[in-house]
Amino acid sequence: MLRFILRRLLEMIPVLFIIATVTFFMMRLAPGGPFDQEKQMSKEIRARLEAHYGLDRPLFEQYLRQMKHLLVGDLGPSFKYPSRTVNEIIANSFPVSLELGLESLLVALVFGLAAGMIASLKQNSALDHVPMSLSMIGLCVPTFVMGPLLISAFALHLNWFNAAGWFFPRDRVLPALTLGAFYAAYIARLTRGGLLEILNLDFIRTARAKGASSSRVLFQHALRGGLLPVVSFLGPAIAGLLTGSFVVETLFGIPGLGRYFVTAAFNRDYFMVMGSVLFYAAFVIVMNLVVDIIVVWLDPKLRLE
Amino acid sequence: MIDTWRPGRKAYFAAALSLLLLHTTGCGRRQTLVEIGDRTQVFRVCDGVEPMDLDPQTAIGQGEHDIMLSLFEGLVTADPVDVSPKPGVAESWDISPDGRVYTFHLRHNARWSNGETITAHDFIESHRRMLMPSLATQYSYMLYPVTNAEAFNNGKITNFDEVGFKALNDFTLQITLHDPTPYLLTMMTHDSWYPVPLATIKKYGAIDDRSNPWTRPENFVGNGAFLLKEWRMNSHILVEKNPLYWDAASVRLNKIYFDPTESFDTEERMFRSGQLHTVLQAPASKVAFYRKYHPDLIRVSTLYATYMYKMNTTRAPLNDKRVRAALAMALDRRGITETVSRAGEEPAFSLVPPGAAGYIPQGRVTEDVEAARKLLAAAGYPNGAHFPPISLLFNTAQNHKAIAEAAQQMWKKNLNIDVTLRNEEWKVYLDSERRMDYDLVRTSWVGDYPDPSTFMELYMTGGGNNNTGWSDPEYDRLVTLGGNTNNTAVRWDAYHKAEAILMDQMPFIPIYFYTEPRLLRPSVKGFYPNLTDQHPYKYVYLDPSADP
Amino acid sequence: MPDPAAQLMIDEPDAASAPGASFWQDARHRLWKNKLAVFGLVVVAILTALCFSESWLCRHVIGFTYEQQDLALGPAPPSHAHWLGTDQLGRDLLARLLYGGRISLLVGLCATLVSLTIGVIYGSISGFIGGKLDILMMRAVDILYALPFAIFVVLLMVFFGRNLILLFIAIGAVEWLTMARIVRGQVMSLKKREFIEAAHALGLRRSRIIWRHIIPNMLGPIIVYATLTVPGVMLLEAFLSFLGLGVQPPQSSWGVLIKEGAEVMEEYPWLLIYPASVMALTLFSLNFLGDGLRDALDVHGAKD
Repeated sequence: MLRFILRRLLEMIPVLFIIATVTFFMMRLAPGGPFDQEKQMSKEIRARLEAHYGLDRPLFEQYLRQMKHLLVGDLGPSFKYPSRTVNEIIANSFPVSLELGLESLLVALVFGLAAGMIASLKQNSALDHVPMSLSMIGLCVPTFVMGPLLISAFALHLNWFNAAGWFFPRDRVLPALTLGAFYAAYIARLTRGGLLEILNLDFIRTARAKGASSSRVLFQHALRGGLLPVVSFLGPAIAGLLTGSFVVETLFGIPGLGRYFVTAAFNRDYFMVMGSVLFYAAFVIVMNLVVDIIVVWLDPKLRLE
Repeated sequence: MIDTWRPGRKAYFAAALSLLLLHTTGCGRRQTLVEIGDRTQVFRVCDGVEPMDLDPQTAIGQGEHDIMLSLFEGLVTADPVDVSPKPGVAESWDISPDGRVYTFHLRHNARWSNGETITAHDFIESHRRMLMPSLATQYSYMLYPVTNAEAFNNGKITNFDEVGFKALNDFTLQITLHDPTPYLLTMMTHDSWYPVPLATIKKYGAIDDRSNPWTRPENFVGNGAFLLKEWRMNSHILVEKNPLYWDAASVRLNKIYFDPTESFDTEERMFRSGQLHTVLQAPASKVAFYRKYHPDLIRVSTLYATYMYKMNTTRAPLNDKRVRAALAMALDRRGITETVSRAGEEPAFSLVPPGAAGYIPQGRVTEDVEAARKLLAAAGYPNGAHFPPISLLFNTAQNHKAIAEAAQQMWKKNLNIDVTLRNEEWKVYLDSERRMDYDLVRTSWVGDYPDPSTFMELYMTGGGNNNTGWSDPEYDRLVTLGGNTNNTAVRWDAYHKAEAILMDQMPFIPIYFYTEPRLLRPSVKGFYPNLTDQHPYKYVYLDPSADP
Repeated sequence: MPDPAAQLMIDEPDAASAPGASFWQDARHRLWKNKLAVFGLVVVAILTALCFSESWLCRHVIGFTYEQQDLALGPAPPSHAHWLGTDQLGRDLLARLLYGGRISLLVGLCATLVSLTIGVIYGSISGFIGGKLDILMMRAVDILYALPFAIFVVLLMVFFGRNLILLFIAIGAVEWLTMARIVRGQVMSLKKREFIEAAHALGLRRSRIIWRHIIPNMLGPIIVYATLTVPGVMLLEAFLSFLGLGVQPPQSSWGVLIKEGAEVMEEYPWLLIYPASVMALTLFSLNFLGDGLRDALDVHGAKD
């Protein structure tokens, strides 16, 4: 187990290296630079700014320089916010996204798993159709519609919450619901699908035929195999949730990390893009590692390879 | 009382307590932050974006400008009503008869927020930093009317003593210009002319280092009516009344919160729920509704900005001025502003928006479909026959797409020509525009200062934002003439002639003059609509009785 | 519990034609018996037919084309002239919905199919063969997860221009990743089951084991995930249009209509409600169809 984890963590190094390299060249190939703006600056000033950040050097030299900085964990300055470093921006905004992500994850897991389990046990009954229809609706209503709807109902009409902001504990409720609802819908459907597959297996049918109660069967046998798809889905999904959502953070004015993934690319904020991509990559890799471990725990026949 | 937006643990307690009290005293409704702010003179503003920085010399943009307006004060400030130059740190000034030498008399009681007195030397040092080639400030050209400022900025001279700034004594500053510049005082209200605390900047790094962290709240020194207290990225900026400000007695607000939501819709919802006193811009779709149902909450004022389509005059068929004119004449601008953009914009028939410095543009595009068809026929495309395919480039944001779709149909209907639409991501679009890889491109120009010269210079030969391939020596001559004379009659005459050339040659199609559909609570007083949207906060106050 | 090995022996005679013909025939038969699934199929078919006969419908039934503007009218609620109302430029929403459906259905189904195919093949190979290859393949997935998507799209557009194929590539490139991981998890778990081990023992070819025994056994999660992918893909298309790839104005798609409708949902709710409802109807139908397919192809259910 420990060796497995260590090996996977070692594998991270080449993976991150490849990601950094590809990202670097992708960024530089994309048209437009950090200093392009509506009111274009003069050529001289652009040249001086580029010189200040070393963007005037040969591309490969820049690449080597950035790699060297990355090696020691220096993500560099932000072009968009010149007096801040990328390290600082990530350090300030990540805790916010992490908190929102965990709360949304809780919402998603509680509602998603519960709905999926009930639906699979009572297949083709109202307890199946109602939650599954709800989850279908949850999927059709994207977050950029769900958020404004929730704000409109609970903040503007009922006045229970603020319309946006991230200051009081109650400010967490609507964003967490908005973000969580979407993932809950996914989880509910995947749980139901996965469980049905297992519940139809012969040994489970036998157990049920022999009179084992539904919930006992569910928890003792079915959940293990039936949750595999959910767990596989959750790896990258959790990485995405915890590193923030652009839409939800913008809708609710939340100072999280998620918005930078999109805005940094749009701003051609080269170092910020690199920083956020690597941060997210590390998260994805670690989460996928956790998933692989959970999969083995769920299905003891598998071994960590 | 909750009067801060981001309270610490104690404030949570106070908040909970006050909420409890409100409930037990029978007042069922939660008090909004705006209501609390009204009573405590805490102003909650949305300035649109997270500021890139708060260094007035390197930070650019409207949102940044709005915040720095509370933190700094130049020699000259803008009048809150008509943005005309008013005394700031300078008590008064004299202008030499030839209009080339300005002498500013500084107040003796103007101080930095660390208690030090502001002297003429502070201004000279600040202007030196602004012009340092190594700092690469984008708005350095705002100082170019000053003798040798451009040469210093371009590194042609290195001795700053040769630049036209001179301290006659600690409180007298003399500025010498290479040519009379009638709009100098207006330009001087711009951030690029603000003084910066050199001693403080040096303390935290090199003065020409853009990454210098002197603008953090814990390091910050300013000279405005307010002081930087908190700055949390993408959350809020809090400024508090500066007790050392020379005119602190007349400042009525205690605190201002600047909110960087970066989404018009979010801001509008926050405004509606009582979290904000004012929002820079209502979403276009909501403007009509506010105007109809809540005219007391919206204020649509004209801005010094023009929305236009530039044309690439180096490519056929747009290298023919008749084709360009035909395209310009075949649009129904009122149709666009009333149904598509819908924020009360004024249809534009010329380059310069009216109303600044008393200049009234004369050249006009006429909307005349028949004449447009004739021009197109004369250019060899009767009824649009054989018209080569051209495209209209725009960035995917706001109303640009809908406006482009409307224009496309108008050209199809009126001229029977096909213009394809080409939307690009922001930076790709900027890159395409800069490389002149376009036929028609959407663009807008916002005046840097309220004087027509900021617009006229746009289409000068080699102008950094011209990008149309169009150039005309006579136009250049007239614009230069108009910018360098103190005689208003001569100036306006030169600009009128220059505009006539522009309208004849038509390198661009004016569409509309921007408006600012600002959402504003009635309790906000001293916050006047004006062309450059400057609202010096020292004049602003909140009157709860006006917002029942 | 029947002996899995014995079951395999019985199947063996028609081993030559990869999946047994009777298996697929049975499946089709079961699918036709499932009323909900048939309903779903019919609705999707009708919607597709309507969308692809859009130009005829616009000319003869609706009376407006998708690009025909009426600035004087502007955004109007549903009426006799415009059954679903008009948008800000006075364009008929029904015409735009039908036109947009072409691109959305195409993208939704094709891109999902592409990501499904890549994901299943990739995940199966990775999970089934395991070892070093699995490590390599899964790390490649990790890399693709992390690359900045917006920049990838911009590059695609800049270097290859805009066309529908690129749209599929861009969407396919991101959507298959999670599918591959789910499939890999299922395969890894399945290959340890007795009947697969028995098949190995019987010396069946790997490709045959995957195709005949593993894939049918994980159809459930695959189909569920595929139906989950469809709405994601349709909305992703709206984002790509925003970046300049995807549909070019004045054309439209359901994703773009929903995105623009969401911006004016308080003022002109019909601009959100109708596109969202049509998309929801499509997804419900696809979902019933998906459930039906799953049941029809379920090898365990087949033994009833």
